[in-house]
Amino acid sequence: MATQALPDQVTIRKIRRRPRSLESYAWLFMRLSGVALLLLAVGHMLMQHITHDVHDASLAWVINSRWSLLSIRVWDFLLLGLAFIHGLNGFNTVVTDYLHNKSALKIIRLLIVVGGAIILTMGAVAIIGAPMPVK
Amino acid sequence: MSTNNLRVTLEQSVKYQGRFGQWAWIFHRLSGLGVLLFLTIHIADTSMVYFYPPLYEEALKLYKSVPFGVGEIFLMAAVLYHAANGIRVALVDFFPQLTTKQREMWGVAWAIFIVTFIPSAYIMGRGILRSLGIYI
Repeated sequence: MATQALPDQVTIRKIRRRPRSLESYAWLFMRLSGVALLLLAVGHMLMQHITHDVHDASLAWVINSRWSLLSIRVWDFLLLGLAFIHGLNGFNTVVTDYLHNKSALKIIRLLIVVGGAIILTMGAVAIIGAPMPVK
Repeated sequence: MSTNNLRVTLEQSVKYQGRFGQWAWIFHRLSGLGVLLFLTIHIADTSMVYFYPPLYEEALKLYKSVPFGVGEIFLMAAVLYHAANGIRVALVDFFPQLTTKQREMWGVAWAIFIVTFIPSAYIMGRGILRSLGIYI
C-alpha cells in the first residue's frame, strides 16, 4: 500500500475519499453522542440530584410524576440508547488496548454485544411499557 | 499474557512523562468506566419499574443508603469530568487549529468541573445528612 509506487505517467488530481470504516463511524458516534450527552446525561444528573433528591424518590413518583410526561420518557429513551452504546463502545476501546489475545477479545466483544443488547432491551421495554398513571 | 499487559500498562501509565494530556486521558478512561458500571446497574434496576415493581422499591432503599449516596457524589464527579474533558477532546478533533490551545482547554475543563462539582457535592451531601436527620 504505502510502498506501492504510482505510475509516473499519470497525474492523479482527484483523490477519492476513502469510504468510512466501521471504526471511523464509531469515532464519529463517540463525538456526536458525547455532545448530545452533555445535555442528556448532565441534565439527568442535575434533575435527579440537584432539583430533586434521591431520598424523596419512590415508585409512585416515577410513575405519577416522571414517566407521566411523554417528554421525560423520550429524554430517558435517548439517554438510555446514547449513553449505554457510548459506554459500551468506550469499554470496547479500553479492552482492545489492554487485551492482546485475539480469541479472548472476540469472546469479550460477543459478551459486550449480547449483554448490551439484553440490558438495552430491558431498559427500552420498561420506558415504553411502564403504565401511565390512572387519572 | 493479558494480566501482564495490564500490570505493565498501569506501571507505565504512572511513569510515562506525558504530562497533562496523559492525565486527562487516564481520568477520562477511569471516569468513563465508572459511569458505565453504574449505568449498567441503573438500567437494570430502573427497568424493574415495569418488570417487577417490588424489586424497584428494594433498589430505591439501597440508593437511599449512605454508602450509595457517597458513591453518587463520585458518580457526579465522574460524569462532570468526563463531560468537560470529552467536549475538549471533541472540539480539538473537529477544529484541529485548537491543538495549540490544548493546555488552556485542559485548564478550562478543570475549571468547569470544579465550578459545577463543588455546589453539586454540597447539595448531595446535604441530602445525605438530611436523610440522617441532620439539617445544615
